[in-house]
Amino acid sequence: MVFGVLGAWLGCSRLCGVYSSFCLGIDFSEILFHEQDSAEALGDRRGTKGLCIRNVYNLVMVFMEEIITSRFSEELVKKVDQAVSRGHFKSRSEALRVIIEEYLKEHPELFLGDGVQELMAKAPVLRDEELEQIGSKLFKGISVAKLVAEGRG
Amino acid sequence: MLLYLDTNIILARYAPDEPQHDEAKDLLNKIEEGELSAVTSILTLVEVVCATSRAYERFADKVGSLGREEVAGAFLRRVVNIRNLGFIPMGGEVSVNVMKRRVKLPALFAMALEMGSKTGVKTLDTLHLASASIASRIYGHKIDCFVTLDEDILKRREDISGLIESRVLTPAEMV
Repeated sequence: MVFGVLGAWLGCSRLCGVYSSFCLGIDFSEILFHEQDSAEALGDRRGTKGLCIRNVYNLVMVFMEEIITSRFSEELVKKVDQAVSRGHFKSRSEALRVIIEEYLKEHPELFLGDGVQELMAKAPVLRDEELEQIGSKLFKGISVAKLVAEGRG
Repeated sequence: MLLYLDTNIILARYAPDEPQHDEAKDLLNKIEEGELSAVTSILTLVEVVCATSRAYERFADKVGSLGREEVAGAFLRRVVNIRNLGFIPMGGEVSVNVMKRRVKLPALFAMALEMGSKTGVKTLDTLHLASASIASRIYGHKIDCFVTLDEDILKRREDISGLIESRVLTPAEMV
Protein backbone atom coordinates (compact mmCIF):
# COMPACT_ATOMS: atom_id res chain seq x y z
CA MET A 1 0.00 0.00 0.00
CA VAL A 2 2.75 2.40 1.00
CA PHE A 3 4.67 1.50 -2.15
CA GLY A 4 1.53 1.97 -4.23
CA VAL A 5 0.99 5.52 -2.99
CA LEU A 6 4.66 6.28 -3.36
CA GLY A 7 4.63 4.89 -6.91
CA ALA A 8 1.61 6.98 -7.91
CA TRP A 9 3.18 10.05 -6.41
CA LEU A 10 6.49 9.45 -8.10
CA GLY A 11 4.70 8.75 -11.35
CA CYS A 12 3.63 12.36 -11.41
CA SER A 13 7.12 13.52 -10.66
CA ARG A 14 7.99 14.36 -14.26
CA LEU A 15 4.95 16.58 -14.44
CA CYS A 16 5.89 18.12 -11.15
CA GLY A 17 9.45 18.70 -12.23
CA VAL A 18 8.89 22.15 -13.69
CA TYR A 19 6.80 23.26 -10.74
CA SER A 20 9.23 21.95 -8.17
CA SER A 21 12.15 23.60 -9.96
CA PHE A 22 10.41 26.91 -9.73
CA CYS A 23 9.74 26.28 -6.10
CA LEU A 24 13.44 25.88 -5.34
CA GLY A 25 12.63 22.40 -4.17
CA ILE A 26 13.39 18.93 -5.32
CA ASP A 27 13.38 18.13 -8.97
CA PHE A 28 12.14 14.55 -9.08
CA SER A 29 13.17 14.13 -12.67
CA GLU A 30 16.71 14.75 -11.49
CA ILE A 31 16.39 12.10 -8.82
CA LEU A 32 14.76 9.34 -10.85
CA PHE A 33 15.96 9.62 -14.38
CA HIS A 34 19.72 9.91 -14.24
CA GLU A 35 20.48 6.26 -14.76
CA GLN A 36 23.97 6.84 -16.06
CA ASP A 37 25.01 9.00 -13.11
CA SER A 38 23.62 6.49 -10.66
CA ALA A 39 25.45 3.63 -12.25
CA GLU A 40 28.68 5.58 -12.40
CA ALA A 41 28.37 6.77 -8.85
CA LEU A 42 28.11 3.23 -7.60
CA GLY A 43 30.73 1.87 -9.96
CA ASP A 44 28.26 -0.55 -11.48
CA ARG A 45 28.98 -1.03 -15.17
CA ARG A 46 25.64 -2.68 -15.80
CA GLY A 47 23.79 0.25 -14.40
CA THR A 48 20.66 -1.52 -13.27
CA LYS A 49 21.79 -2.42 -9.79
CA GLY A 50 23.36 1.00 -9.30
CA LEU A 51 20.19 2.65 -10.50
CA CYS A 52 18.04 0.76 -8.01
CA ILE A 53 20.25 1.40 -5.02
CA ARG A 54 20.76 4.99 -6.02
CA ASN A 55 17.04 5.52 -6.44
CA VAL A 56 16.28 4.02 -3.05
CA TYR A 57 18.90 6.37 -1.60
CA ASN A 58 17.40 9.29 -3.49
CA LEU A 59 13.94 8.41 -2.27
CA VAL A 60 15.17 8.44 1.30
CA MET A 61 16.78 11.81 0.63
CA VAL A 62 13.44 13.11 -0.71
CA PHE A 63 11.97 12.66 2.74
CA MET A 64 14.93 14.32 4.39
CA GLU A 65 14.87 17.40 2.18
CA GLU A 66 12.58 20.31 2.40
CA ILE A 67 10.83 22.20 -0.35
CA ILE A 68 11.12 25.96 -0.11
CA THR A 69 9.00 28.25 -2.21
CA SER A 70 10.71 31.37 -3.40
CA ARG A 71 9.98 34.07 -5.94
CA PHE A 72 12.54 35.02 -8.58
CA SER A 73 12.54 37.74 -11.17
CA GLU A 74 12.21 36.65 -14.76
CA GLU A 75 15.70 37.90 -15.38
CA LEU A 76 17.17 35.79 -12.59
CA VAL A 77 15.33 32.68 -13.78
CA LYS A 78 16.67 33.34 -17.28
CA LYS A 79 20.22 33.48 -15.94
CA VAL A 80 19.79 30.23 -14.04
CA ASP A 81 18.28 28.56 -17.12
CA GLN A 82 21.19 29.78 -19.18
CA ALA A 83 23.66 28.16 -16.78
CA VAL A 84 21.63 24.94 -16.91
CA SER A 85 21.41 24.93 -20.70
CA ARG A 86 25.18 25.46 -20.92
CA GLY A 87 25.64 22.33 -18.87
CA HIS A 88 26.96 23.91 -15.68
CA PHE A 89 24.12 22.29 -13.75
CA LYS A 90 21.84 19.35 -14.40
CA SER A 91 18.69 21.25 -13.54
CA ARG A 92 17.34 24.46 -12.11
CA SER A 93 17.00 22.74 -8.79
CA GLU A 94 20.64 21.71 -8.72
CA ALA A 95 21.72 25.15 -9.91
CA LEU A 96 19.92 26.91 -7.10
CA ARG A 97 21.14 24.41 -4.54
CA VAL A 98 24.77 24.83 -5.62
CA ILE A 99 24.52 28.61 -5.83
CA ILE A 100 23.08 28.81 -2.31
CA GLU A 101 25.66 26.36 -0.94
CA GLU A 102 28.51 28.34 -2.50
CA TYR A 103 27.16 31.63 -1.18
CA LEU A 104 26.85 30.24 2.35
CA LYS A 105 30.39 28.84 2.15
CA GLU A 106 31.74 32.25 1.16
CA HIS A 107 29.88 34.13 3.87
CA PRO A 108 30.80 32.60 7.22
CA GLU A 109 29.80 35.88 8.83
CA LEU A 110 26.18 34.77 8.43
CA PHE A 111 26.76 32.13 11.07
CA LEU A 112 28.68 34.18 13.61
CA GLY A 113 27.04 34.85 16.91
CA ASP A 114 26.96 38.13 18.76
CA GLY A 115 30.17 37.35 20.66
CA VAL A 116 32.01 40.54 19.70
CA GLN A 117 29.01 42.72 20.44
CA GLU A 118 28.64 41.01 23.79
CA LEU A 119 32.33 41.59 24.51
CA MET A 120 31.95 45.28 23.66
CA ALA A 121 28.78 45.55 25.71
CA LYS A 122 30.53 44.05 28.75
CA ALA A 123 33.61 46.24 28.31
CA PRO A 124 33.67 49.29 30.57
CA VAL A 125 34.25 52.67 28.97
CA LEU A 126 37.53 53.79 30.50
CA ARG A 127 39.46 57.02 30.09
CA ASP A 128 43.08 56.91 28.90
CA GLU A 129 44.31 57.60 32.44
CA GLU A 130 42.33 54.63 33.76
CA LEU A 131 43.60 52.36 31.00
CA GLU A 132 47.13 53.53 31.70
CA GLN A 133 46.62 52.69 35.35
CA ILE A 134 45.44 49.19 34.44
CA GLY A 135 48.29 48.93 31.93
CA SER A 136 50.83 49.79 34.62
CA LYS A 137 49.73 46.67 36.51
CA LEU A 138 48.92 44.49 33.53
CA PHE A 139 52.21 45.06 31.73
CA LYS A 140 54.41 45.37 34.82
CA GLY A 141 57.79 43.77 34.30
CA ILE A 142 57.13 42.76 30.72
CA SER A 143 57.79 44.66 27.55
CA VAL A 144 54.64 44.99 25.43
CA ALA A 145 56.84 44.59 22.36
CA LYS A 146 57.85 41.17 23.69
CA LEU A 147 54.29 40.35 24.73
CA VAL A 148 53.01 41.04 21.21
CA ALA A 149 56.00 39.26 19.62
CA GLU A 150 55.36 36.26 21.86
CA GLY A 151 51.81 36.08 20.49
CA ARG A 152 53.19 36.11 16.95
CA GLY A 153 55.01 32.85 17.64
CA MET B 1 52.32 62.21 6.86
CA LEU B 2 50.77 58.74 6.86
CA LEU B 3 51.99 56.26 9.46
CA TYR B 4 51.38 52.56 9.91
CA LEU B 5 51.16 51.64 13.59
CA ASP B 6 52.14 48.20 14.77
CA THR B 7 50.10 46.74 17.65
CA ASN B 8 52.97 47.18 20.10
CA ILE B 9 52.93 50.98 19.60
CA ILE B 10 49.29 51.17 20.66
CA LEU B 11 49.86 48.96 23.70
CA ALA B 12 53.07 50.83 24.61
CA ARG B 13 50.92 53.97 24.97
CA TYR B 14 49.16 52.24 27.88
CA ALA B 15 52.26 50.65 29.41
CA PRO B 16 54.04 53.30 31.52
CA ASP B 17 56.98 50.95 32.17
CA GLU B 18 57.65 50.51 28.47
CA PRO B 19 60.91 52.24 27.46
CA GLN B 20 59.22 54.15 24.60
CA HIS B 21 55.91 54.77 26.40
CA ASP B 22 56.25 58.57 26.27
CA GLU B 23 57.07 58.61 22.58
CA ALA B 24 54.20 56.21 21.79
CA LYS B 25 51.82 58.38 23.84
CA ASP B 26 53.03 61.51 22.07
CA LEU B 27 52.55 59.86 18.69
CA LEU B 28 49.01 58.72 19.48
CA ASN B 29 48.11 62.15 20.87
CA LYS B 30 49.28 63.75 17.64
CA ILE B 31 47.20 61.26 15.64
CA GLU B 32 44.09 61.95 17.73
CA GLU B 33 44.62 65.68 17.39
CA GLY B 34 44.85 65.32 13.62
CA GLU B 35 48.50 66.36 13.32
CA LEU B 36 49.34 62.96 11.85
CA SER B 37 47.33 60.36 9.94
CA ALA B 38 47.71 56.71 10.78
CA VAL B 39 46.47 53.31 9.80
CA THR B 40 46.84 49.82 11.17
CA SER B 41 45.62 46.37 10.27
CA ILE B 42 42.39 44.93 11.60
CA LEU B 43 44.75 42.26 12.87
CA THR B 44 45.78 44.80 15.50
CA LEU B 45 42.36 44.50 17.12
CA VAL B 46 42.84 40.77 17.56
CA GLU B 47 46.36 41.24 18.89
CA VAL B 48 45.24 43.87 21.40
CA VAL B 49 42.59 41.53 22.77
CA CYS B 50 44.92 38.51 22.86
CA ALA B 51 47.88 40.39 24.38
CA THR B 52 45.82 42.04 27.13
CA SER B 53 44.03 38.79 27.83
CA ARG B 54 47.36 36.94 28.09
CA ALA B 55 48.81 39.65 30.30
CA TYR B 56 45.73 39.45 32.51
CA GLU B 57 46.48 35.79 33.14
CA ARG B 58 49.85 36.70 34.60
CA PHE B 59 48.71 39.67 36.60
CA ALA B 60 45.09 38.89 37.40
CA ASP B 61 45.52 39.50 41.11
CA LYS B 62 46.80 43.03 40.54
CA VAL B 63 44.18 44.35 38.14
CA GLY B 64 41.39 44.66 40.67
CA SER B 65 37.71 43.98 40.19
CA LEU B 66 37.70 43.84 36.41
CA GLY B 67 37.49 40.42 34.76
CA ARG B 68 39.66 39.24 31.89
CA GLU B 69 37.02 39.91 29.23
CA GLU B 70 36.28 43.33 30.65
CA VAL B 71 39.95 44.31 30.55
CA ALA B 72 40.46 42.97 27.01
CA GLY B 73 37.16 44.55 25.94
CA ALA B 74 38.05 47.92 27.46
CA PHE B 75 41.31 48.06 25.50
CA LEU B 76 39.57 46.90 22.34
CA ARG B 77 36.88 49.56 22.74
CA ARG B 78 39.51 52.26 23.15
CA VAL B 79 41.59 51.14 20.15
CA VAL B 80 38.50 51.03 17.92
CA ASN B 81 37.76 54.58 19.05
CA ILE B 82 41.21 56.09 18.41
CA ARG B 83 40.43 59.12 16.31
CA ASN B 84 42.07 59.39 12.88
CA LEU B 85 43.27 55.78 12.98
CA GLY B 86 42.11 53.82 9.93
CA PHE B 87 41.84 50.05 9.85
CA ILE B 88 43.06 48.22 6.79
CA PRO B 89 40.62 45.45 5.87
CA MET B 90 41.52 41.98 4.60
CA GLY B 91 40.26 42.94 1.16
CA GLY B 92 38.27 41.00 -1.38
CA GLU B 93 39.18 37.52 -2.51
CA VAL B 94 41.98 36.77 -4.90
CA SER B 95 42.15 33.40 -6.63
CA VAL B 96 45.38 31.47 -6.59
CA ASN B 97 45.38 28.86 -9.35
CA VAL B 98 47.73 25.92 -9.21
CA MET B 99 47.11 23.30 -11.88
CA LYS B 100 43.40 22.50 -11.59
CA ARG B 101 43.12 23.62 -8.00
CA ARG B 102 41.84 27.07 -7.17
CA VAL B 103 42.17 28.56 -3.69
CA LYS B 104 40.57 31.84 -2.77
CA LEU B 105 42.46 34.14 -0.40
CA PRO B 106 41.69 37.56 1.01
CA ALA B 107 43.84 40.16 -0.80
CA LEU B 108 45.84 40.69 2.40
CA PHE B 109 46.88 37.04 2.50
CA ALA B 110 47.79 37.05 -1.18
CA MET B 111 50.05 40.03 -0.53
CA ALA B 112 51.47 38.32 2.56
CA LEU B 113 52.32 35.23 0.51
CA GLU B 114 54.26 37.41 -1.88
CA MET B 115 56.06 39.26 0.93
CA GLY B 116 56.62 36.23 3.12
CA SER B 117 58.56 34.57 0.33
CA LYS B 118 60.91 37.57 0.17
CA THR B 119 61.54 38.14 3.88
CA GLY B 120 62.13 35.80 6.75
CA VAL B 121 59.76 37.53 9.15
CA LYS B 122 57.12 35.76 11.18
CA THR B 123 53.63 35.09 9.84
CA LEU B 124 51.78 37.81 11.74
CA ASP B 125 54.59 40.32 11.16
CA THR B 126 54.25 39.58 7.46
CA LEU B 127 50.50 40.26 7.66
CA HIS B 128 51.25 43.69 9.14
CA LEU B 129 53.76 44.44 6.39
CA ALA B 130 51.23 43.30 3.79
CA SER B 131 48.61 45.56 5.39
CA ALA B 132 50.98 48.52 5.11
CA SER B 133 51.56 47.71 1.47
CA ILE B 134 47.82 47.38 0.79
CA ALA B 135 47.19 50.65 2.65
CA SER B 136 49.46 52.46 0.19
CA ARG B 137 47.29 51.20 -2.64
CA ILE B 138 44.03 52.04 -0.89
CA TYR B 139 45.05 55.57 0.07
CA GLY B 140 46.79 56.23 -3.21
CA HIS B 141 50.00 57.36 -1.58
CA LYS B 142 52.54 55.33 0.24
CA ILE B 143 52.93 54.93 3.95
CA ASP B 144 55.70 57.27 5.09
CA CYS B 145 56.69 55.31 8.17
CA PHE B 146 56.01 51.86 9.50
CA VAL B 147 56.26 52.45 13.26
CA THR B 148 57.06 49.43 15.37
CA LEU B 149 58.86 48.13 18.43
CA ASP B 150 59.10 44.62 17.03
CA GLU B 151 62.74 43.54 17.27
CA ASP B 152 62.46 41.04 14.45
CA ILE B 153 61.12 43.66 12.04
CA LEU B 154 63.63 46.27 13.22
CA LYS B 155 66.49 43.82 12.68
CA ARG B 156 65.47 43.42 9.06
CA ARG B 157 64.38 46.99 8.53
CA GLU B 158 66.57 47.64 5.49
CA ASP B 159 65.09 44.77 3.47
CA ILE B 160 61.59 45.53 4.72
CA SER B 161 61.86 49.25 3.91
CA GLY B 162 62.60 48.36 0.31
CA LEU B 163 59.75 45.93 0.18
CA ILE B 164 57.02 48.17 1.59
CA GLU B 165 58.59 51.35 0.22
CA SER B 166 58.56 53.20 3.52
CA ARG B 167 60.87 53.78 6.43
CA VAL B 168 60.70 51.43 9.38
CA LEU B 169 61.14 53.38 12.62
CA THR B 170 60.57 53.20 16.37
CA PRO B 171 58.54 55.97 18.04
CA ALA B 172 61.76 57.41 19.51
CA GLU B 173 63.28 57.62 16.03
CA MET B 174 60.13 59.33 14.78
CA VAL B 175 60.51 62.10 17.34
